[in-house]
Amino acid sequence: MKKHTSLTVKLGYAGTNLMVFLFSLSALFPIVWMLYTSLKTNKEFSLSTMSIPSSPTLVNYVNAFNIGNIGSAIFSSVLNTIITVPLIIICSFVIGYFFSRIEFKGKKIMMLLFLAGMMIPIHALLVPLFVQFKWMGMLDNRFTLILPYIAFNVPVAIFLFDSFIKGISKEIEEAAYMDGSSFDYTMFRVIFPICLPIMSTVAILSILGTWNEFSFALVLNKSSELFTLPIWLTFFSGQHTTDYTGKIAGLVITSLPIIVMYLFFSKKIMTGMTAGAVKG
Amino acid sequence: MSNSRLFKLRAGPAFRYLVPIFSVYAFTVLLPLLISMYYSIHNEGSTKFVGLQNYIALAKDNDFWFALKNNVIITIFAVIGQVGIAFVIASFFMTKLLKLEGFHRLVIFLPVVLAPVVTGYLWSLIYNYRMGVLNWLLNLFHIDPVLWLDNPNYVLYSVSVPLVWQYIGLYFIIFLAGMQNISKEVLEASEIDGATWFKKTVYVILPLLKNVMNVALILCITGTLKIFDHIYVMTGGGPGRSSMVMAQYAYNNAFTMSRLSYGSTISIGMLILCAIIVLAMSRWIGGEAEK
Amino acid sequence: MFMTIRKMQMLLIVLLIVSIGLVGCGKSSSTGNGNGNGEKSADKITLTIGHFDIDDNGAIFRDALEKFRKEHPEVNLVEEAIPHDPYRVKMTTLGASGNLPDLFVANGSMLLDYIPKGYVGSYNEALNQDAEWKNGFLPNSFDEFTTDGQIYGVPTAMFSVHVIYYNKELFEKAGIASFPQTWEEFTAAIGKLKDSGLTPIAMGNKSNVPVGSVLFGTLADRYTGTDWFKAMKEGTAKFTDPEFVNALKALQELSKIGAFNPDINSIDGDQARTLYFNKQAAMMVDGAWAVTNISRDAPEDIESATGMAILPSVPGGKGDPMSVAGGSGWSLAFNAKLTGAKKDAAISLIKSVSGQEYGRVKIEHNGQPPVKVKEYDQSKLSPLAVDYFKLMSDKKFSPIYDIQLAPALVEVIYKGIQDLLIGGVTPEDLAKKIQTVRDTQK
Repeated sequence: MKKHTSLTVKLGYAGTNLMVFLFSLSALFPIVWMLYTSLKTNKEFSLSTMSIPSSPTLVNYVNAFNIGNIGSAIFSSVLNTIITVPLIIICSFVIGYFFSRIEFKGKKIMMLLFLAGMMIPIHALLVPLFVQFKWMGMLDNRFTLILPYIAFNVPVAIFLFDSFIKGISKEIEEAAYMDGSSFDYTMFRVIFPICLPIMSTVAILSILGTWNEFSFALVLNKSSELFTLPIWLTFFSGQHTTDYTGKIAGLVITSLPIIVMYLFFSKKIMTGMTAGAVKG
Repeated sequence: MSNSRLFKLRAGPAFRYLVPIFSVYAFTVLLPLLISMYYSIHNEGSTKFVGLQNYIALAKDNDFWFALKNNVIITIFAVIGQVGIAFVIASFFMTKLLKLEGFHRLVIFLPVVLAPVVTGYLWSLIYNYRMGVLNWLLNLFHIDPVLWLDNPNYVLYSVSVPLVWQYIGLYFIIFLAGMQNISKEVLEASEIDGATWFKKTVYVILPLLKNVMNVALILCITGTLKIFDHIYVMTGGGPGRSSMVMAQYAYNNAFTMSRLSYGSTISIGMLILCAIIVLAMSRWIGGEAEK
Repeated sequence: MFMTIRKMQMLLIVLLIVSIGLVGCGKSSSTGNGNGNGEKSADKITLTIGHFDIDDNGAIFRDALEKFRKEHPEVNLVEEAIPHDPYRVKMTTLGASGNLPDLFVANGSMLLDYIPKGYVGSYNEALNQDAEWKNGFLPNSFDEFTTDGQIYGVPTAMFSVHVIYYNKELFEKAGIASFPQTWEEFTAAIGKLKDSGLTPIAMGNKSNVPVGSVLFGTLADRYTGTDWFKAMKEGTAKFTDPEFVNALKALQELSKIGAFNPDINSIDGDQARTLYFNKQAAMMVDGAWAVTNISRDAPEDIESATGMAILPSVPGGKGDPMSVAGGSGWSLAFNAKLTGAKKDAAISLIKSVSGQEYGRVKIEHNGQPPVKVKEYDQSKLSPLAVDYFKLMSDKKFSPIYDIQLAPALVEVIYKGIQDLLIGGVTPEDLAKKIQTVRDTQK
């Protein structure tokens, strides 16, 4: 009887391992596929979308540098991301801290208003925001996209921080206050470091949100030197034609920095997690 | 007792942090939302006040309710698929039974990194009738190819899969971060008691993760109810209206049909419905966790 | 890794300063390059032009703009060029708030949206002052852009959106001697092609525009005739009229007998063209622009085997079987806010991309200019382009639905057609639904 259970359990573990492994493979597949498909010609691609390139060529990458203005697109995307992401992290951490730790009047309403930000389809705000920015003279500027990118990424991040900080014992702060720590010091030097595990998640999400954003970048800026990478990517399609493999090479160019950054961050996530565990 | 004094809002921090950040948010999100509401109670071109006429039209609009139904179906898939699978995988990580932990942890998150447009584009190739991987696999078993994205009977399921697939990694990471916060002693204690994986997960981990679970569900539901990019790229809501979702319907009205005020009405309608669903769910799950 | 508190506070302050600063510096620069009057620098006129001619096919247009820059050093021409799909989104957004560029490419449908709002200027005065320019255009080329006698757009091309490209060799192999001349022959031919294992007609209708635009527009005209369309626009004819319903029925019939590739609604035009190029499909229905695609991308044997035809006549149809949906479609329009020197510069720019010289360059690149080109080098044309002009020489243009109708109506018809193709709606119900939307447009 006992032996029988352990066998099913063993089978169960093997099965779970296999399922998780298959899922991981499927997660890896698109990136591998993009990489090798970008080395094909359009002709070869139209014959089979899945086959390995018979004679790999870099022609798509060479062409990509002649499409639109890739240099300024990379610069714009990188600049937007570098400016907004730290601001998103700090703003959402602060609000998340207030929400999880401090009781004040209007907190419920404020939370609801931030929650609303997660529920609005961004296209609903495209025209209003354009009108508003036009009126304020904020259109077509190097920094035009900063405010929308912060504001649209903050709600999700706030809720992540909020839930994470709720899980941290209040005794830590109480002890800090006993030692004479100020409010600012407690928030930034005591609690902020503990939030590292969730911070990495927030960082990655904000990077993605900023890096991949399309609609605002399209509408709020019109000068070609302010175009970001997602706008640049559309230049592979004309009204009636699309350069498929060229576009895939473009996708590799735009996705690779993020993937590399994730691989970098993933280490931080793990160290952060152990840090979090130790503190517990 | 001293807690309540320590954790009370004081003027200094409020003015230093709360007010400026909230003003930026209000200016960039709430004000446009108000303008959008203004559009929705005016006629096209905003020349005349029409009251709730657009909302009445929306309530009678079959296509909108059909899109909502699709949204709800996709959301149910997403909750079970994304949050459910992610939680199960994350709980495996708390046991010592999974092989290649490092590899999984690294790779499961990768799809999240892809832009939604890339995911949609990629899956439309996977679903391709003639050259897609899926029909190629079916062919190996001598099964007739399937029109994954053309058949109105299952296009909705076809478009849900990539969505679920892409974001499992996100919830996985969120759960993992939350689980690392559970003290080792509690887990070890339960192991000494001889709890199985299932018991440990349901009776020990899950109650401790109530907050995280609540946030994950809110993220998942709000994200899926306003889902747009994936479907826009794969089917555009088609064929016909088979895979139409609310955000796509609002987009079509505002940007393809030049009906901005009706498009705004749909978006506000979405916001209201979404708020009702989320608040109801939040109350149902998080009762005492909210305090 | 961890910043000090002071640094954090600094960042927050910077955030505020940046947002306030934006308002300030944004304002000062907007007078310089915005849609305003640009009086600031009197000697240099700044003109903005919105267009989507960014790919190979648009090289002629871009060259013409470059040439204009050289000839008019006093004008600072700023291009706002993005691909077609995002261009449409952007123009709707700009249009919703009345902030269009000085000059922009617009189709008839977009103009129908802008004209009542007073965003676009009339060309009547400019055209009347320059008879040579005005008379150079082909007949009816202003139709799509005229409302109440005012012309709001100058066409940039004039072509048929409906051509059936067919592979003569595959037709012969299937036992079809020549392209069918009647509807029965056409459906019989489709049956024969299907029996020989081919996809009869390859189309990619993912964006739901192609079938509606390049196939249904012409098919509908065969049944309804152009007079019905005019009456419908005036409100005296309805979509529920039997003529129109019959056209919908005929389209659904084609789908039922398996005329199209089964994945028609999930692939795009490029993928459909690939089917034709790989000899998997015997026909493809596409616009005149495909002449360029075939000449450039098709394997040589496909290009030489390709013949061109149009839809045959239909039983009981009221339309002229020698007509195809077509016309000038896209135009250049100018912002109603333009005045004085700025407007003059805009008009002269428009002349440079619509006159004789531009027409000659365009036709020699296998394009279809909206002007009567007096002299051009025929040897520069691809054989298919020559065939195209031969095919069109005795044809008349009938209305293009997506150009002549308001955007909301177009979306309902075209999306409905997609539904019709998968059998999701009956022709009668679809007709009713379209008419309901038509009724809301006064």
